[in-house]
Amino acid sequence: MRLWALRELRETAGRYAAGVAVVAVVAAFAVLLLETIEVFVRMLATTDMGDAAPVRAALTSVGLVFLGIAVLTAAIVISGTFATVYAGRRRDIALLRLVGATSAQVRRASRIDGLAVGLAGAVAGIAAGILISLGAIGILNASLGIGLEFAWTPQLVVVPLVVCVAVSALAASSGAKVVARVSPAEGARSDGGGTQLPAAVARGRGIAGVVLFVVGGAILALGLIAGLVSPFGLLIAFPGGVLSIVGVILGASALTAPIVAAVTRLLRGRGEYLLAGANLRANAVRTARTIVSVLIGVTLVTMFTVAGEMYLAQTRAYFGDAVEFEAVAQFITVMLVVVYVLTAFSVLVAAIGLGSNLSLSVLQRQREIAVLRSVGLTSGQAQRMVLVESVVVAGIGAVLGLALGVLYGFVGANSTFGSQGFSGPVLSPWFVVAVLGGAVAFSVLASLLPGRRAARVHPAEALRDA
Amino acid sequence: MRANEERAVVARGITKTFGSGESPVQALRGIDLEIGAGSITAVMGPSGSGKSTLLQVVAGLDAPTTGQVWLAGQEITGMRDEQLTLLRRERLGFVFQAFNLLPSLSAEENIRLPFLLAGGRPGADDELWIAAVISRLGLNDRLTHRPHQLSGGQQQRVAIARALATRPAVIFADEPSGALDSASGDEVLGLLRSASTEYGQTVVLITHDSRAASIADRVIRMSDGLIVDDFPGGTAEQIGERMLGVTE
Repeated sequence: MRLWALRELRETAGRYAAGVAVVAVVAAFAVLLLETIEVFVRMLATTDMGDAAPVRAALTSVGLVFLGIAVLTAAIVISGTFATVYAGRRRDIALLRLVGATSAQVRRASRIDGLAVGLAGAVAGIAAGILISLGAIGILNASLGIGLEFAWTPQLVVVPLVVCVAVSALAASSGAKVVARVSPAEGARSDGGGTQLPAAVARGRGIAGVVLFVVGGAILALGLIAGLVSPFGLLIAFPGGVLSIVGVILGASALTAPIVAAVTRLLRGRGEYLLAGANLRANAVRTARTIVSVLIGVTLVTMFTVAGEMYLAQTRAYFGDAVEFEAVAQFITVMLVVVYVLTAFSVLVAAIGLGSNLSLSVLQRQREIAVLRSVGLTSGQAQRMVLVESVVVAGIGAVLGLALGVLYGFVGANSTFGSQGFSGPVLSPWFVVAVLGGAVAFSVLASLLPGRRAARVHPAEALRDA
Repeated sequence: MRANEERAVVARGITKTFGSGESPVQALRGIDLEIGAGSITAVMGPSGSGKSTLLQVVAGLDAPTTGQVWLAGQEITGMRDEQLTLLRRERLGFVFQAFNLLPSLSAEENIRLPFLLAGGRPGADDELWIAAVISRLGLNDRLTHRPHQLSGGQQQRVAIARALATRPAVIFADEPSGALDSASGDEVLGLLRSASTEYGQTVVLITHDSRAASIADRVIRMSDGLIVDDFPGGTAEQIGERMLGVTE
């Protein structure tokens, strides 16, 4: 089994490219974060401005929160990648089961895949992180005329390595879980059943998702109320937020299926639009996975923007247009920029997730596309089919992400500053336009390569034996 | 034009070479072929004989290395991909061994796929024809089913209905009974035979099975990229014997 896993991994390395890229981004992020904190704290220690230990603790805990967000996003993307790759290998797996591989062996094989992906990504990411740090320190020294030094600590390598390898191995085995249940009988069958979850599993996840979302929502409400009397309401609201977003992710296909159905029924007029809609509906799980990766990126950005804007509005109400306000506003803006930079890594991870899901779905539909080409789908239509799928999915993910982000931002702001006065959510229409525009622009970009791949599928492939 | 219409497929001097450099593989080594309209022609041969490559070339799925091909009086060699795709959509029908149908579409959507791809609605005339084909193939109760809810034989019937829906100049069928049990296989072959007898449908059937070839009006035998025999069809036994004779 181990040999099988490694050989498969070598032959299908391209399919894991997104997984490796995602892990690398997280590893590089971790290195940059740790290095920035280390350099800053050491600089502080030399300037004699006081005890560096509490500063280090504060910076590290803030850093860990953002690293945690990036790791969670990466785990979702990687498990999605693995689930999709393994779904495409159903028949191989069923054959292995037929000749006697146990379900546990199949899952162990997937963990080996996960380890390899984690290791490759971590090494690349750590190297990139160190190089970027060195470069940044060099540029800062040259332009500001200061003498920063690269601060070497073992954590710089150990933390990202352990985190990345553990997360991708876990995500891989959870992603492969459903497929490991494949019955040996499927090896003898030849159907293109798609990537549907067994009904019982899907229902179970849907129910778990709703329960988590409701419980998380209740805790959020509690945090909101607590925030009216104490700034520590955030500590109650935060786990509620985590629970509810996990609920959304678990129940994603139950949540998105009716939305996808309603939106895709509007796609008419051209053959490729109809096909795109039918694809998205038929592969509800894969569609939900892709929507989730967009949703997470948009939720994060929206949450911080809404919370930041609300805090600004509240501060303005408190200070009036006095000089003090200018100073505080500037501080908040700087903080927001820092937060955006920190969130950008998670958004990048989510973006890679969208691109990889699209590529995998084209790769696995190669034969279907060949049949379509043989009965008269032009290569332009094939390209547009993928484009429409991408835009629809990104659009739905962006709208849902906006809604969730407003909710979290609103609760977050009020549970922290609510004791100074309750305020409603603030959302600038420009931000909405920018997010929707950005989502559409990115989804068009993300569809270019997979779309070209679909357009190049040779119609004669439809004739090949399965 | 009339003369061309009577010949559904014309191929002249077809060669097809795969790969280049030191060990190119010559799959077709000079094929001249005319296939008349309204009949069933079986192209037989063992695997590696070039019959699948011939199908790809004459059906406009792949270009020959040299030579010319006419389909329903139109020369297809040198056509742009777009033109060729539209020709396949409007003038040709395909039935493959397996994985014929789109898993995300219902049986009815699969049957209407060529019209769906064209984006318009079929005309009243086409609608009548599609309804007739569906009921002739006994698919009225299956229209809302998805392919995975259908048996292999039913899936092949849907594929035949799709191929017939546009009233194509030629239907190309590649081992249409290859993945089926013998009863469903016979049923599928019988339906292709009826399409030819009842509607004058031209069918080119690629097979290695003399039982399948027994529905043909004419049998062409290929070996090593060349046509080595060409004779009027017969029973499975007659065809089998003649095949053995050639091999010996």
